[in-house]
Amino acid sequence: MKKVLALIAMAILPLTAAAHGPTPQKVEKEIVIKADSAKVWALVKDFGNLQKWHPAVASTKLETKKDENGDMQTYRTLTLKSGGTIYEKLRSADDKDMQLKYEIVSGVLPVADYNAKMTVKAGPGAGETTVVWMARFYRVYKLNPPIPAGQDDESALKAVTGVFEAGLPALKALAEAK
Amino acid sequence: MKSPSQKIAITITSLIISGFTSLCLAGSAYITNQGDNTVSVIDTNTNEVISTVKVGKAPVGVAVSAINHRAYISNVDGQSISVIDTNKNKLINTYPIKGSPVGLLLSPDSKTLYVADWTDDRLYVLDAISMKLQSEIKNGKAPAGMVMSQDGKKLYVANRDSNEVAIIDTTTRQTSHRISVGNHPFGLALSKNGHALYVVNVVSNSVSVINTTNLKSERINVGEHPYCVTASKDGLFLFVTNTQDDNVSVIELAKKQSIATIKVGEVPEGISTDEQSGNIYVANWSSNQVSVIDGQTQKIITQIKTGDKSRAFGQFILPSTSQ
Repeated sequence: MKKVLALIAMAILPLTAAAHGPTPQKVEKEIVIKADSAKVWALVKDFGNLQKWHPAVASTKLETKKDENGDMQTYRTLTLKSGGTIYEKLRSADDKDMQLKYEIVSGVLPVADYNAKMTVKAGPGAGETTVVWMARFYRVYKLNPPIPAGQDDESALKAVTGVFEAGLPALKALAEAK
Repeated sequence: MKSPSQKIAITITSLIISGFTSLCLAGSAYITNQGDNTVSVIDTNTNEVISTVKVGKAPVGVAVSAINHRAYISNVDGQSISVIDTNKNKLINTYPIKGSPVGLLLSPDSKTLYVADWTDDRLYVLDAISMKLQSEIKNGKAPAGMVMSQDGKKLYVANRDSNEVAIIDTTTRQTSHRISVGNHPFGLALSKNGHALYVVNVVSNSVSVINTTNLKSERINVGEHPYCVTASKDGLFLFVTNTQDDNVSVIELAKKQSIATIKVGEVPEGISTDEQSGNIYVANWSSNQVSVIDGQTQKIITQIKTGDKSRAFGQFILPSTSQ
């Protein structure tokens, strides 16, 4: 049943190249971790192993293939513990700026045109590291009101907020574990 | 060495000059803040926010008129247009509109306001004083940025989901030409002489430069997910906001390529040139601020705190009308 639901969700949210709504939404969360920034960055940039720290993710499948322009790109399929999958494309993992950028191609989150970045920086205190996770996205429904339930800005914001708020403390716990 | 009295005299003189300058040159930038439903008004002489005006829900587009002394704001989620008195920087009224208004443009005589409806694929033509609807134009999918020739005869519209720019004859309100551009054109700018049209292709990460006489076009690559473009005061450079690189590409038109990038705030969207100082103003959606770039040195002068999620889509700088 869960599989069927996931397939339906995939059908509703195809490749997000078509039009999107007019108003981008944003979720930004940060956390301070008592660990070396290099250690935290190593966890964040490990695109193929999100299940290591995110509690909602059961497994991550990494693959490399050509995108629509014929360029080799890195993708991952996240299989969630609650069922369903999220298919994401790695945009960049910059060791100098310690910044990971990725986007959602398709999946169960009620969002469209989702792109996100995770930034790791040393501080504020000695031996501490701050992680900032920011996403910009649109609601699913692209047309004028009335907006169907579950496809509005609130649903999109709630889902992404849930992902971030579950993930960051778990990242902190893993990075601070001896 | 100058004596203390000489120093004082110089200071007084410079104070008088700067006071005089602010009287003559102070323009205003009208910055829409999507997240708190306001417009920040920036004095382009002091680069300070001098007023914050409450408008409708999720403001995005801007058009300003020195003739009408008004700023027009599209509230996309509020489905309305707010009109601000630019002498007092007070809201005059908010007018409901069908659809999802995003792009705004005034005719050169400021008599007509064009409103691009993002979701219903049409333009509304309004009387810019009475705000009465005069007609509707249907021409392409998801119309976004608009510019107009100086004589007011040709309206250029970026139809985002048709991957084209349409040229509309403003007398007949019919589409006379369609020009293929890159994927998802959004922001537009026109050279001062009207000979070149600049089109930002969001998904193609490029700018199309279109010769408005023979309609031939060339593409110049920029950064990730670019939105908007403005020409430098001297017309030799273009400045393009790259929303997913947090920077602005500088294109040297003679070289037909990007020659530099300037780090700005996060997720830069709207960009306009202050034609008096030549400074470039950039609205940063994610860092809630405006970056000011010196048009000559192409370096950041200052960052100005605005409201939540600044967008400022359109030509948002009102030149001074003081004498």
